[in-house]
Amino acid sequence: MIFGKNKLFSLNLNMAKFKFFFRKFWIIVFFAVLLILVTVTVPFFWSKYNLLGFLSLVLPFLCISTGLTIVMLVGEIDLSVGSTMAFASILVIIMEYGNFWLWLPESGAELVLATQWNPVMPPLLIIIYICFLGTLIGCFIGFLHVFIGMQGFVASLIMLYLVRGIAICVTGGQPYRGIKGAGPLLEGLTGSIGQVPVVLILLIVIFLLFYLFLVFHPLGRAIYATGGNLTTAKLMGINIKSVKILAYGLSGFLAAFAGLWATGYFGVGDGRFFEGYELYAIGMTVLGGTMFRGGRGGVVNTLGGVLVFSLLMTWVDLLGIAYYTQIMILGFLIVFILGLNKFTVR
Amino acid sequence: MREVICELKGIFKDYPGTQALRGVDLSIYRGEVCVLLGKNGAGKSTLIKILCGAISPTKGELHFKGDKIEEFDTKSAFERGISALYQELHLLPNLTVKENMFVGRLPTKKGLVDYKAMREIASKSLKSLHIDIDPDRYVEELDTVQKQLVSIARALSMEAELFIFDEPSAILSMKELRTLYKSIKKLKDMGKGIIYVTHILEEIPVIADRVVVLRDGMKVFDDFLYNVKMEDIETAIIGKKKEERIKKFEEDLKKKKLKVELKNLWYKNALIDVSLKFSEDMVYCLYGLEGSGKREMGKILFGDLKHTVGEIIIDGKPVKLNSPGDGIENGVGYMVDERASEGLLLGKSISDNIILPSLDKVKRRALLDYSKISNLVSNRISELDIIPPKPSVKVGKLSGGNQQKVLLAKWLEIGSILVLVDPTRGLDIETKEKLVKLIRKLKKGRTIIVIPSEIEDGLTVSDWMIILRDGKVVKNEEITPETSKKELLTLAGLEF
Repeated sequence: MIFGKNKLFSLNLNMAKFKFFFRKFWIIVFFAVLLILVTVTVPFFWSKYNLLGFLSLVLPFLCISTGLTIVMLVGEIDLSVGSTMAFASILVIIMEYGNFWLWLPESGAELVLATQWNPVMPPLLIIIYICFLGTLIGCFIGFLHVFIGMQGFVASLIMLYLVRGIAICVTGGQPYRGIKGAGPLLEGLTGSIGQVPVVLILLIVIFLLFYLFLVFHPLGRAIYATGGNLTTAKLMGINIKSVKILAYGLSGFLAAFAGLWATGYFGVGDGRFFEGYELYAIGMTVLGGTMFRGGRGGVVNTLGGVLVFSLLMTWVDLLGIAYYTQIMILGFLIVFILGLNKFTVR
Repeated sequence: MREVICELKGIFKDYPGTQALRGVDLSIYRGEVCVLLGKNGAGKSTLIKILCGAISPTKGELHFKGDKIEEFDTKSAFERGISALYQELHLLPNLTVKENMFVGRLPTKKGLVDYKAMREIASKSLKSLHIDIDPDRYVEELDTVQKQLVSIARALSMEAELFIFDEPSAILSMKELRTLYKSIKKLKDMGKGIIYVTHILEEIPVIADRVVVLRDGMKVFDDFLYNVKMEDIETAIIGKKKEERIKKFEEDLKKKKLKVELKNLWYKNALIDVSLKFSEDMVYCLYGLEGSGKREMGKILFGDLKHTVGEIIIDGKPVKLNSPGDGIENGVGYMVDERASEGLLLGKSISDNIILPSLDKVKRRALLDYSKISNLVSNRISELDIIPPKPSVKVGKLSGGNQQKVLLAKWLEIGSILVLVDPTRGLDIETKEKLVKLIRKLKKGRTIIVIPSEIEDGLTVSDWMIILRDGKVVKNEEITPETSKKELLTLAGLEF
């Protein structure tokens, strides 16, 4: 009798745990279902070439969404990620192919071709330098927000225009392109080590790094605390100002990395690239379940959101649906998914 | 041997125009619960704010554990070990109980957060207070008393020495309070200092060791519980002999005009076949325990909820109330109990708040007529005796009683039917009596339905008692001097 009772109890507990898991990470479950659907309708989705394309879509999305997730966890918003990506994009071409100080291309050229690979610093240093600049951009938003007292929305909107403007000015409105596609640095980032593509490694590393940071590092927990309640966090001895600047800084860092990597993938740098990516990032983050009011959600959720969004994009693409129809379908799907979430899970 | 933990010496606090505290001396001892009483504006909250560093006194000294305190800010007071458990608790709803207890100083192992150790320490410290809460639960899932207990446990784990409870009885039910008392007893045994603020005199014999009463910024009463008589405390609070209770309004009911009629009203499973009649010039008390359907009833009358089956007749005409807008159109005013979060725009002026629901009535053609507005507002202010009588004062700066009056004033222009949810909540005895008088005055030409959370509040103000239980009307009767509170509560489903 007692045994039976205990067994029942443990079963209940498991149900509760399952429910909890489902409520928190239901987007992952949704992704699995979607994956089956895609496999059935588009069998060649699993071809190596196509998978690589899919992962190449996921990586920049994951970077910017993770950055935005951190900012949203402290209860703020960052609209500057698309511009920071574009900034990183032209910067990397300039630094790989040209004289760093000679920014303006010759007039009249429709597409500016760099004639030779002529890096201004060692490749690794270029990555670090560009990511550092991205971090600075983010920190500056944080500074405007925390010390000047602008709202995060406004401060990041300013940077959206400012950084985008700089990026376009630097190139004189022209796209920049290397003569043989990407240089060794970018080829390294987009190539593969043995049989394993670097994209996959980068994806896993970035996800794990930020998961560990947010869940197991005291600073990550301070981000959650700040988003939960500003006054309380302050009272508990958390320096909310630096936490906010940190969040924006990380977002800028990740956006710069995303721009750098995507440039390597496309082989072109342009100040007009990645327009509207900040909105994609918001869409994916919200889709995953991180909330605007702060403190709720996390990178696991965001990974789910990014995967579902990218998969949907790839799917409609593979089905041969035109771009303008795609975005419409995506809009409907987001409404559907979020509505489903609201009604089934609550 | 009594050991002083905190001592206030001749504390003065001046505000522009008023003096909130005029020379208060108060000592708090270890292992002793000091109950602090006083009506709204007597200086209690000012005193507490000084203790936890939110404001600094104009004159006077504060000693804590023998040290004189020079700087007044919340963070250093907190670090010193003074922990105020306000009504809005400083917890992080998005995190677990265990993490809340360690925010800002998480235990780490090799630089990473050690959740296992955190869980162990948390559950140990919860157990030591006899608190039965799973440390893995999220704070937003807890109820009010559990939140209060968690914040006690947190304060304790941060080595707090002085605990200030700011009117827990305003947000907790009787049963929840009993749980709280247990933990307070435990704190007492540990030799902590405790200040307990309340309006409810019945709590004193249960919890107090010492009773302190403030009036007009001065300490007028300070004695041990065993020396105390209840009448003395009441006299000390009000400053004069307790006034006669409000006399019953005796009028022939049959002469009165029928205002609202509900016919066979159903709402989901909260209201079951309710038929009621409400007349003009009457105050009705709609009472029931939580979940009896009384709240739904009020919202249905206002149009905030849509009843499933049944008919509502106002002034002899059947009406459809699909939204609060319909309610307002039919002359229904609804005064919410969450005055800060739902009822008032605290950052706006008295005038803005009062005219908000009746913007349609103060228009000339398409535009607002400001002379009409200022007329209307000054009439309301003098009618309800709102202090200060300046239309431009921000509502957030008013005292609780006056905020309540502003809330009431909002609905007077349009409302011939007023639904008042818990109108006297969180007010002291004297303000309560004033508000009761006011409601009695306002019933002329109106139908007022009061939905109180404590039955006493309903009994003093109403002419008629309606009791709901599980969605059904179990009593529908005039209130007479013989009406017994206990009998009504039993009817409502409360077990003694």
